[in-house]
Amino acid sequence: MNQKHIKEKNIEELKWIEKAKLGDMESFEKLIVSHEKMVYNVAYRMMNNQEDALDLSQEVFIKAFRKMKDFNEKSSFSTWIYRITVNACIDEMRKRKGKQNFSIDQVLEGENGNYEQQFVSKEETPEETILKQEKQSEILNALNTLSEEHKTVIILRELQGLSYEEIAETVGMTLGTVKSRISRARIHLKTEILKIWERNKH
Amino acid sequence: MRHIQQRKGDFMKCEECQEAIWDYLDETLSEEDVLQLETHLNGCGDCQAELQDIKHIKGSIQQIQQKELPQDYHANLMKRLEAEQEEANKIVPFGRTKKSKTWLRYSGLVAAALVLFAVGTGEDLLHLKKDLDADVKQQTSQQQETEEISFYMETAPNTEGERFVVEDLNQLSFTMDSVEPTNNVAEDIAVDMEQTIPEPPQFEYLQAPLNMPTIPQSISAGGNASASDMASISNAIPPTMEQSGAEEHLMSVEIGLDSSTQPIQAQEEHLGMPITDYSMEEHEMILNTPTTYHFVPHVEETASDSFVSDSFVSEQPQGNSLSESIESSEYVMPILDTPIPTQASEQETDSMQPRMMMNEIETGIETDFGVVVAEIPANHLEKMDYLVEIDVANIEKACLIVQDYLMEEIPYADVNMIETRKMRVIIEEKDRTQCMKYLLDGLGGIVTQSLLEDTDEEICIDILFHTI
Repeated sequence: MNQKHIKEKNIEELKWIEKAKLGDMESFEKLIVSHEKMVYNVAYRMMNNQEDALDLSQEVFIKAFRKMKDFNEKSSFSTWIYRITVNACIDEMRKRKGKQNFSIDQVLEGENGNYEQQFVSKEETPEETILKQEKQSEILNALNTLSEEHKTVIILRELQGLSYEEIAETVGMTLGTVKSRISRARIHLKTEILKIWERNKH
Repeated sequence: MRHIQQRKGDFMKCEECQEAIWDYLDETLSEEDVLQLETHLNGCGDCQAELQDIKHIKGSIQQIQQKELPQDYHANLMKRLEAEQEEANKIVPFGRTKKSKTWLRYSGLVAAALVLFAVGTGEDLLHLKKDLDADVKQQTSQQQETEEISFYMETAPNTEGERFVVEDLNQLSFTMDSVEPTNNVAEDIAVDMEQTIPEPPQFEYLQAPLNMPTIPQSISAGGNASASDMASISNAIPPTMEQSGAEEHLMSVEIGLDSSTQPIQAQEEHLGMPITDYSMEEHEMILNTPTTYHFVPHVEETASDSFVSDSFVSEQPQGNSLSESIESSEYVMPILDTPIPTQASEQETDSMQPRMMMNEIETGIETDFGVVVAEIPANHLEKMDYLVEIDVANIEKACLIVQDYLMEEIPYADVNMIETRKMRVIIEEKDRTQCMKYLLDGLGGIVTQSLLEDTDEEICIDILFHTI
């Protein structure tokens, strides 16, 4: 399930970056096409609904295009894109928090609704599907109780499968800080999940 | 219950073990660590239970599938990108250059020139440049010719963003107990320079080399400002500041006086208008900072002619509205919104009015709060690093407050109105935190767009004001 992550800058990508920096849309398209799903998924998990994920993730690529010439290539393109995504999501979440029109419950309802549509698979019996949905929404509910920072690192590590090093680059912290943040985030997540399971008597 | 070293070779604490279990299940642990962990697990029931929990949780997380992209995602994105590209090609880059700091730069120069001028005699501004090359002693001796200096004093903005002319300077300067300047007859302070002659220079920088690049931003008078202090302030401007980067410093004297103690009623009387239409409690930050008084030299009648003498105006960028306003002798130093009373009788009533009217902003012309308004397309955001939106009760006053704060707290801030309700702030990277803290925590602003991948030394923050 994890995104296959580009760890080495291959020559082709470097060429695209070079051209995209000069404003070549074709190269930029090649550069981003493999990152679209990943950016969309990070945004989806961060914002917890499809509409925001769509808006924000597209905004991320537009920002990236505008800022392409400033991309210094110290990190990989995917890390750079992740960083823009995470920042955009956190900004948006903070903005909503400030305006206080952010209701976790409402968003969660929407999330469950979406799941029902998306995860009906032909091989599963209805019972299996419902059970699976429940499990997923439990995890996601727990995830949404975390702080923005903890949520970010859990999404990057546990859902997107980034390495500690990649996460450190993405959030702009040292490896040590990131490790301890992930560790704390995991403890919180575990506590929340166990609480929910206890309530739902799994 | 701890199981430290329960078995031979187990050096792991439960905490460490439980932290490592996640990586163990991810199979990212080194062989050595795996061995150690398994050794501990074998002897520790708690950690075995933990392993089962985490296994279960991880299993559930695995169930969460990647979302598929919505239909036409890529096509829509490419459409938006192409539109963006077209837009970018249309827009002429807006100068984030030093040029945009023009008025700020010259405001310091004007302040300096005025202070210097005030201590010189009326007709010798033209000679001032020559004098600047002279050494400190010469300059001091030149000042002996001066007979009188007049100062106007202004309070720092209060919560409502208003400034007040402190009419009785003597009272404030010499008896700091009084906080109500309104009850007294206006009286310019007369500084008899002859009194200061016998005194040796009081500030270290008077003895500093002539090419000293900066002047002190503020001199704390500690509630004891005296005539000789003011003379020293005048002396304190290094001769070379006209050529150096020091112009951006504004002269101010801090006096530990809290403007909030001034009764609002008195303020309203003084202002001749109610000030209660605007409440921004968030501005405690401003309130809490010590009141800053700006000394505006009271330029005598002969002054206006010399002030716009060629030597000065020729340094202004051509076609700049700033220089025009200087020529019309109505130019107001940006940070000081009381006009220099060259024709006191005509302007006296003016200065009592709020300095900025809504229509002045909307027409996009120069405003009295010292900001040159240039109309920039709304979609012109490519140079922006942050877009901060702030809800305010009164846009003009909010602009003033924000501008005053930034100008005073961040010396190199470049503040311009680029649209009727949008302010563009350019600061140095090092001031980013302070500035954002003020805008977000202090004013309740919200970052609605940000591009953190900015490698520039300068940060560009656009502030969009919304009326509540």
